Amino acid sequence: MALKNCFVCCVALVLMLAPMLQAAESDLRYNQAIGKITLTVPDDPKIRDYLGLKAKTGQFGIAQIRPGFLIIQIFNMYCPHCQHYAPVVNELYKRIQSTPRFKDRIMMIGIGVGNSPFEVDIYRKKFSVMFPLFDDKGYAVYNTLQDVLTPHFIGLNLDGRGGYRMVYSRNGGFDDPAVFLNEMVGLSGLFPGGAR
Amino acid sequence: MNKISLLIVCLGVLCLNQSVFAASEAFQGSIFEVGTLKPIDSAPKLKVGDAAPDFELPAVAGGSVRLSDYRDKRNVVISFVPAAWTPVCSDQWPGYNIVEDLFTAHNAVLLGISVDNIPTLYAWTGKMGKLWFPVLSDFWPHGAVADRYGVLRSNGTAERAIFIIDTKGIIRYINVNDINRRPPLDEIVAALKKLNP
Repeated sequence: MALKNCFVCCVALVLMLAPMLQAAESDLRYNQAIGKITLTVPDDPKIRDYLGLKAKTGQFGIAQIRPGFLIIQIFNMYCPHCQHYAPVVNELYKRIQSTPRFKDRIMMIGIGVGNSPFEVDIYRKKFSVMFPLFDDKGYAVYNTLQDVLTPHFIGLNLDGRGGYRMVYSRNGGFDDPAVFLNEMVGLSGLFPGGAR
Repeated sequence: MNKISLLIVCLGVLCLNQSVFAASEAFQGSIFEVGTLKPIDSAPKLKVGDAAPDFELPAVAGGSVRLSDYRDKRNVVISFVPAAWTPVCSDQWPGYNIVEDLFTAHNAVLLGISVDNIPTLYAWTGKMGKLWFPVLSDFWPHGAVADRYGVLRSNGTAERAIFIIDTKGIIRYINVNDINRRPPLDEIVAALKKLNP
């Protein structure tokens, strides 16, 4: 009887805590959609090398990016929040690049939904973005994701063989790149010991 | 409280919280969803080569702006947007706000015009940060300027339209865009380049 009471109490406790756990969890509804997104292979060989792309032209799927952890920023040049958070996102990239054990295993890309290459280039130059940005002029990515709000961040584990596992997906920016990186590192499961 | 009741209460709490955490970004919570609209709902009244009708409209920042004040001085880009607090409009002028240099490089000023009243425009554009260009209210007589430019829709909102007027007051570019999409910035800049080859 005591065991039964204990079980019921545990179930009740889990149900009560679930909303709090959800708050920390991300919205993974775009998991299926990510597999359908294709982007144009960059002309710049340094970017192709950064992403581990073998093809020099044509399209590539996100899961074709080399193994590791990929952070995708869904942005829009016209979005005031994307503009506001751009320096913070740049700081995130700098932190990754300046940490030897993350440098080659955590990649970042940005996709400008509804933006032409010209508009993406404006965003890149205006905010001195160092990581690769891709355009979505024809709204293909936007339509695939459906009603995504910008900025939106997605975290993916990539196995390098076309497989991926989405571990993070959330609307809105973040204020502290160190905290965000720590969260991504933890979610990736690739770095024992966390972000330190 | 018996155990079943306790579980039911917990399930209720869980369901209530799910809707809270499904809420979107704070800014987006202020935007009224209009769905997909008829792309264009007005008849053209002007064409490239026509003299731009003069107007004077009150500005959100105070005072008023008269188109003819720019004659022989600056090219003018007029951006009509349909309505404040709607999806595409809210993500249009903030983009222009980071490319002031593209306009000034072509001796152009930008005038943003909406049929909303000044208080509404004040609250709305305040969410966009500090805009470098004047935002003008075509509220009263309602949509009169939009009407003279042939971009007043049947429901009293304006089209999403761009007019480029040269220093002589002649219209050099018109784009009455699909209201559901932003006018391509590439085209606006290309049209400005043609003014000063």
